[in-house]
Amino acid sequence: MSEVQRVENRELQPERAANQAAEQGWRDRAIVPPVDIFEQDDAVTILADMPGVTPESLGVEVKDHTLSIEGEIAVQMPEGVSARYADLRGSRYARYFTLGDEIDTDGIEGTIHHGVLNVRLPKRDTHRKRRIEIQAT
Amino acid sequence: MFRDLWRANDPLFGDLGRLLRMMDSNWDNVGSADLRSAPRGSFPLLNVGETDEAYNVYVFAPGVEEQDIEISVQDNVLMLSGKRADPADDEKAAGRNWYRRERFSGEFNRAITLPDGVDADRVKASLKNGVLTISLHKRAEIQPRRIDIQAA
Repeated sequence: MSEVQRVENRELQPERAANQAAEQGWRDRAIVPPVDIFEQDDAVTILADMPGVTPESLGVEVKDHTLSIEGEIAVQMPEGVSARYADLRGSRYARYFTLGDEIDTDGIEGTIHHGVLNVRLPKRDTHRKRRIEIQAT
Repeated sequence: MFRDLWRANDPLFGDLGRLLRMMDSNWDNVGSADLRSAPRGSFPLLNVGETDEAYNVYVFAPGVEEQDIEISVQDNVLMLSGKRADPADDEKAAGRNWYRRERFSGEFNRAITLPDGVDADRVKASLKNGVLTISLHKRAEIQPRRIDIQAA
């Protein structure tokens, strides 16, 4: 093996492997859905854009103070379709949030309508906002 | 837009993946762009597929109601326009403290230039789970035909 070949091999192989891994990863890659998050007196609500996800293909779970939102895109495609252009590259969504102790994890509710997920995270009674009256002296 | 549409070739993101990534990262804002093209990532996201009979456009429009989308076809250009309500304008929105506002709201327009040969009279659209599927039939003359070989 000549010096040139050795150098080429050393330089090309990791790159090739990285490309293959990247391409594989691209196909399996989870899309991070955009979210809106707001808080009210009694709950925190997350809205997430997950078009193509059905109630059956949606997974909302809490484990060890982590809320995970996952969903598979289920779109009916005709037989023999070939891709021509794609803004959306991937077949599933995933996003994770850490929850504090103030969230009542048993009371979490999720609904999905027109591809928008709504997760309501109720706050424990002890953590609800109380207004403090200022006493006139 | 035309060039953009054909950017992803078959197989989906396979061998061209590296080139596509390069184009995404470097080429988006240089050179000349089609007047009607939208920057990558604009709402709603679009995928386009092709079969022998039709072009299928998948529009990822979560939270958009049927009556809030308008679809029109002019020659081979498919136009989409519509709006998505801002959750902060909701009547129940009083007293909300917002931490993140990543989702699009407001009006949107997209134009998709398809190859010639779309039959503008045979376009179907359906909305399900936030995905609008538009099927545009190809005219018969551009569909593949099987040629029989005559016995001599």
